[in-house]
Amino acid sequence: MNVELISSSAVPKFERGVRLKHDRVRERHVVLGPEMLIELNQTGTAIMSEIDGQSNLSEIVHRLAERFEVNPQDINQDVSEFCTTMVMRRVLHT
Amino acid sequence: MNQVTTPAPQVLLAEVTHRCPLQCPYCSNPTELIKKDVELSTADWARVFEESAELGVLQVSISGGEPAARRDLTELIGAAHEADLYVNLITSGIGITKDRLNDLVGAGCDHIQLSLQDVDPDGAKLISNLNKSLERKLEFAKWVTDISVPLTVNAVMHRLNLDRLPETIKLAQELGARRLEIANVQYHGWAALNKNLLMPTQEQSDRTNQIVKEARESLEGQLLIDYVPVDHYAEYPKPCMNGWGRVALIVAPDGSVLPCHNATTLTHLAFPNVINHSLENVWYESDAFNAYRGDTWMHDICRTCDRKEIDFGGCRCQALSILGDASAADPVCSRAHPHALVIDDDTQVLELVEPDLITYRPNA
Repeated sequence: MNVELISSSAVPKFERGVRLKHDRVRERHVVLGPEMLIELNQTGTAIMSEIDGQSNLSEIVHRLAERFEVNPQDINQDVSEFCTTMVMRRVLHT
Repeated sequence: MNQVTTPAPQVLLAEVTHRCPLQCPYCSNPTELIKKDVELSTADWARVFEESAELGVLQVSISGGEPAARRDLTELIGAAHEADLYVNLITSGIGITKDRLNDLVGAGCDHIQLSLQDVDPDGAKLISNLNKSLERKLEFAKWVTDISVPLTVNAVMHRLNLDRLPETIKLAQELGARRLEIANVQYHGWAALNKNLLMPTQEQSDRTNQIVKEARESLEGQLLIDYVPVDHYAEYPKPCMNGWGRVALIVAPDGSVLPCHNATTLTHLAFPNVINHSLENVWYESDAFNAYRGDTWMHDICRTCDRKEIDFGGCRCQALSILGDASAADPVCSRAHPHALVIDDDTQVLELVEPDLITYRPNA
């Protein structure tokens, strides 16, 4: 990515008018926003489910690492890039 | 095509009325406007929203005409929200007071898309045929962003306002919009009647492409920009409605269910009505929705084309109106029809366009 990644102390929050939704007809999770429909894969769903508006990026990475029994360092880059992309698309803000 | 291979719809466009205080000469409503006395009731719409959600629709855009011309707009938004749909309101802003806006948002409106005719007050008056339309819209936009509801500015562009595109982008930023749609007029219906006044020049079209490219780069992460270029200067068709009966369905004010805004111009098709058909039945079983799904309806040039999964053959209505064949490749396509969309010789480039040259759509 060319853009600067959000810092580990930043607290990602959903933008107003954007939300995570379980699409029961297609059995998947999606992000809904203004003229926006983003289909999430399993990883995306796991990350977005941890966005609670209070935890910082580092805490989110640690919780995901615990949940999937991996080393936090191994997923830090991917989670940071995912959240940064979501900020650029105005799904999240910090 | 059968039911197994037809994906569920994701988007509902609810055209709740064709009535509008504005008279824009490129209105996307059909030239045969539907009258108030045959509009669906509040309860009918509530059922449409519930059936849509069950079918798999995730987003509804409540549109018109001007949806605020319906007195029950708050109830309609409430019913869509109750059905667990994401609710977009597509409005001119005219006829919505600050108090009414608060009611609409309280009922579950998630996002507001505001149309903008021109950043110049006289240009806005010329197009909308309504006094002070720009001033009233700017006031409305401020109310929306004051309560932090996401705002999209939908700027419809044509020859008379394209030279003010940089100012239009700047205004969207100043208003605090999250999204900007720069949508060139689609020359169907009302717009086709005014094509010689509204069609941009090649030079304007080229400059627009460049301005949009630069703005997208410089405003990345701040203002999301969607762009619809001019068909007449394009090489390939747009994926009209993302394909016929693939993603979206439209319910017209009288309850007719359509695959696109202009589908009623395809008079060889019968479009079922929600009054006596379930949406599920219409989506999966009706001849109208199945007519242009898949590729069996296509001419060879489309069926064998590597772009058929990209643009799905383009717009059926334009194929019929310009080529006289609803199954033909979209006339935009340079592979199928290198010379179908020429700029007419009678296109007038006038210094001053007076209202009496314009064919306005009526209010109702």
